[in-house]
Amino acid sequence: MNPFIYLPIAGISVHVLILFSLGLGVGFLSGLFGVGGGFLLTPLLIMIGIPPTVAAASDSNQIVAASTSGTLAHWRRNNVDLKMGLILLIGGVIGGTIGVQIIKILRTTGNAGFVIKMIYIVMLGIIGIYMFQESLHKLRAPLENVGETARENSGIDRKKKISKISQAYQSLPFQTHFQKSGVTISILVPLFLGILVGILAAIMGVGGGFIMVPVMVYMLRMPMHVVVGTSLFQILFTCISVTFLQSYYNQTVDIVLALILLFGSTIGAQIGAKVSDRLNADQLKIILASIVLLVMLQLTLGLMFRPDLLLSIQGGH
Amino acid sequence: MVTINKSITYILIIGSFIFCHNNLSAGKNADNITNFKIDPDHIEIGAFFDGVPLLVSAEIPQSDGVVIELEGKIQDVTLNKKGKRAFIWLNVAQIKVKNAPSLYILASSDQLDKICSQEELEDELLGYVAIRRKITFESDKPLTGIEFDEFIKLKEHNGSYNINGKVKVDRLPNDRQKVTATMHIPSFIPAGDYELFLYCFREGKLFKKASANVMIEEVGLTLLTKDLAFNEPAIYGISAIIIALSAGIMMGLIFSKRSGGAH
Repeated sequence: MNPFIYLPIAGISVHVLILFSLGLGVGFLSGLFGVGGGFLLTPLLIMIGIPPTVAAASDSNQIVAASTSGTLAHWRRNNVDLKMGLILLIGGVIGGTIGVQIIKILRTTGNAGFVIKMIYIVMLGIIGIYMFQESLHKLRAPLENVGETARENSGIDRKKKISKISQAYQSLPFQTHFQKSGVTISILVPLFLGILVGILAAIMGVGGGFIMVPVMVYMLRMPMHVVVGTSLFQILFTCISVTFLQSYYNQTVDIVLALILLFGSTIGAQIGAKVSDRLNADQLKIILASIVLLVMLQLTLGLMFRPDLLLSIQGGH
Repeated sequence: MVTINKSITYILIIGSFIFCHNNLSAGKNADNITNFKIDPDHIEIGAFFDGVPLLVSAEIPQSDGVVIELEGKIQDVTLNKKGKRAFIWLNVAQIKVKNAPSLYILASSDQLDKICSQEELEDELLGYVAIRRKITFESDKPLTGIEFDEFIKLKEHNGSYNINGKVKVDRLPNDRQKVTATMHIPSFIPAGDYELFLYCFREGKLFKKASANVMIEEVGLTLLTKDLAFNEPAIYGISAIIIALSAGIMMGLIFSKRSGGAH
């Protein structure tokens, strides 16, 4: 039997196992870290020859499946903060709409791709270095960490750690207690963060989990296991809207490509969710930080070295 | 006796007629391209289409060189051109490429410049020399002269241009030759009609030419998906979401059962 499958919207044929493996690998990371995986899968699809616009749009479609599977898995584990997720989602939809308009303007200037890559590099660089430094610090001082964790668990040090930014959060109106996450914060904070992530997600063509996860961990101070489930919940609905809009306006969603990817990614997401239960938060953070930094490095080098082809077909990011 | 002589005379006349007729036919065929075949001449792009080898064969008069050319429709495309600003590479200009064939695959029995003269190549519009003459580049920024080479590089990279195919030539009786070539049709080829040309050269000059059509069409799942995506985008989008959600829920349930239920 022919192992190649023809992708009708992409207009090329690709080995089924390559697509399945990509889906499986990225789905695994999705379940493990609560990220949609779009920031990894889209560049990988482009590398195997899928047109950039089709890669990004179909990726959103497959993230719907991976996020559904992952959200369900975390829902069963009681890891989704529905209240927080809904506020983030409202912000995400508002931000996404703004982001789509920004993309339109960027495209008319002819260098949307460069701007998108630069945003990727800056965002991934900040997030990756911050996460890596903190996780490394904790791994290097395990004994201190044990004590610190114990104090953190008892709630003694938690108040001491509240930064000036956190104090500013507390002065905002509409303070609400999020029971599942165990935090009390103004709803304006997650709403604003949702808008910010929505803008970035629309510009970068991804679900935004890789931004949302660190934001929820470090800025909202939510527990890691709730962060993963809530992030997947928010990604699910963001990608549903992106899939519809891309299908309707650009006709760039390749359902055959998405189907193969989602088959791999849903399996990978379940495996990832199971593995995440067995790893501690610092191990998860340092692995995610390494992946984020590697992608950032690859993007940076891609901009600095002379490309093999100086011409490219217009239409992609 | 007279009857026998008459019979012999008739036989000789008829024999001579047959001999002359055969020789004349042979002479006529000896100067023509015959048994020109393309297999397949109708290509279907289905769910498992991965490009196809296109087998071209023909019987031709004695020639010094043979060229087989498959060409797509002439089209205009817009490309982004990268350039270095400070220490980074980014798109610095948009280039409109006009009159470029969408596909150009060429196979020859020898190097093109050994088969025919430069003038002949340009007159007959063969090879990259001819493409260079046909296409034009337009940009709001000054052109730097690298555009054609970079354009060819891009097209060769995605497989839509290739001029390195080989034509096999075998001797046949009566100063005839049999030519065969296998040309690879890439998987991303758009549906449509393509023209295939066979050129025979003698002493650097073209002396025989034949052409045939190759039809490429989408069928089955490919046709259905594209039709829905482009003609009913809302239904297509909703279908894509429902399929993804169903797959996610189904996989979630499968894993839930395997792990013995929820926590």
